[in-house]
Amino acid sequence: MSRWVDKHLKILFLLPCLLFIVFMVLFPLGYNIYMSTSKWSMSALSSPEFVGASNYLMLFRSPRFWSAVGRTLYYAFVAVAIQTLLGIGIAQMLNRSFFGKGVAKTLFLLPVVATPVAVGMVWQMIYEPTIGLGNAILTSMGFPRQLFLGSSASALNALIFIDVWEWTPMVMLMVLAGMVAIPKDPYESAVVDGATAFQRFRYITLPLASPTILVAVLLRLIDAIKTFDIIYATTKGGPGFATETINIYATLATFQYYSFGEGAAITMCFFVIVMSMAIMFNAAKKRVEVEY
Amino acid sequence: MQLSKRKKPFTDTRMNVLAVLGVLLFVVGLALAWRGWSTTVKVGDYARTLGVDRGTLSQIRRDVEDLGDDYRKAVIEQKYEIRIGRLSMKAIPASSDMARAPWLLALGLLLMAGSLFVPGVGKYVLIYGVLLITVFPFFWMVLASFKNNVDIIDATRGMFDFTPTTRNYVSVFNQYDFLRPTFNSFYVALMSTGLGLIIGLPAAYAVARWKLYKISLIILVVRMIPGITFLVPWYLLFLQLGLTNTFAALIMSHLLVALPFIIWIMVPFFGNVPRELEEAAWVDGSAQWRTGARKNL
Repeated sequence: MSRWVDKHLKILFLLPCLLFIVFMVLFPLGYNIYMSTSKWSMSALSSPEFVGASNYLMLFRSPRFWSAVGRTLYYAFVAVAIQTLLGIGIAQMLNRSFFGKGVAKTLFLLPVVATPVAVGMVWQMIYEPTIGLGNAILTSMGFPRQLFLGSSASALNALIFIDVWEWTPMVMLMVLAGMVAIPKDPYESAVVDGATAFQRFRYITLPLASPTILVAVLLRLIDAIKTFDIIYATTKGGPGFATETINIYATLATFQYYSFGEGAAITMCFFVIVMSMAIMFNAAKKRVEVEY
Repeated sequence: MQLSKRKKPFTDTRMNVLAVLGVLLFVVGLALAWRGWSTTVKVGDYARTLGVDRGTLSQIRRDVEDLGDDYRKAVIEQKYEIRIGRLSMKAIPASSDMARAPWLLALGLLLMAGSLFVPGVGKYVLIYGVLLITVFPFFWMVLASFKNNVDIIDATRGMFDFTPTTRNYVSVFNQYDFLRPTFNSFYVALMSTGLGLIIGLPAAYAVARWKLYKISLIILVVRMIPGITFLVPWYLLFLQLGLTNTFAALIMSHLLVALPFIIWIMVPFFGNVPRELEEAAWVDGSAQWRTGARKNL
């Protein structure tokens, strides 16, 4: 018995995990593909009706879908770009000893560990146009009032601001981990050669931490494209369609319009986008050769 | 010199004291500048409302002060040909404050700029300034939890102008069954983590031991699939299994997040355990599966 176990250990150890993946991941994916080729409103009376690729064709013709794609990419890329810049800056700031470092580092992580729905609610109150804190601060400094989430012109940017606030610490933490791992010797020789602080940052810290930065950026990018909770907790895609990303669109199509085929088709397109990101991530990871 | 400073910046007590004093100076400067600036902004607002320029407004305010108890709205309105309406003259900053505002602003900015020349101050101001912005919503949330609704909503009052109340906390426990959801959350989190460990650890071990990185890639991909993909199929699946509205379904779905994470973290760890250690254990007569379990953990 024991010998048999030893012989097939490789399979046995992987089996539960693979079973889980097959049941909980592959089956749903397959089912989704099936659903995306059929028309169904989740009724027990009528079974799904096969309609071929018409769900996809309808999507590709609908401007609502394309603008949702555009918004998703805009949201993810702008948010992650800002987060990366700020994250590197803060990490560089924290990558030295100062009084209260431990406490400061912990406090910086608060937004990441907070419940997204609670974060959404707090920001909704801050963004409230008439009585919210955001406008109170803006007007007291002499700036004009903003509608924030209330206007379709600014809603997406307001959401990006929340995302930046929430996830910059995450990028910061990963970049900081990369910076801490850099050996001290190059800095010492740079100082001997008379390099300024900025030169040390530009020519030593940045190149040596770039693998970690790249990984952080790509991970964040994938998560930012998938962002759902914050948007759903604050605007639910409104006003109008101003903050409707693919994820929100798919949710609305599925659970509000009950057109499961359409929802599944959106999800599959979304899946392709995220997957291409993941492939990029993997290629980049291989190129920089960091262990993750 | 620079390098030793990098490593231990605060060996010198005098530097420390200097930096703290500098930070204090900066904070004082900030407060003064803020005071001056907000007064300036407020004066501008009132001047715009009344349709006069700043100089006239300060003249009006001085007149109001001179008149004291004899102040009549109509007199002022007639003298300056303005409509005061329901505006309270007492709300406008005093004329002395108005005159002082630009000086306060200038002095504050000067102090702020000057304090930055003290070594170490710039660093602290930057770090703790950014930290303050980051933590502020939380601070506000904590404050709000001790306020009643009116105090939270009233934007005209300052943040600290409220009568503290613990009613919110009492009602959380009394009106809403707070403990039950908390217990549920903990239960689901514990179960999904435990199950994730039971399934994930052997898998991580296998991946690291036999270098099955293809499989770890699949697991990573699982993490990247948008969650909504699973919702409907899962629902149907759980419906078939009779698991809807049970903790099991919730735990299973949480497992989807926990499992890749556990494997992701544990693979490099298992990879670092030297094989010799395992081989030594086999020689000592330990079955291989037991080795995996005992030695590595």
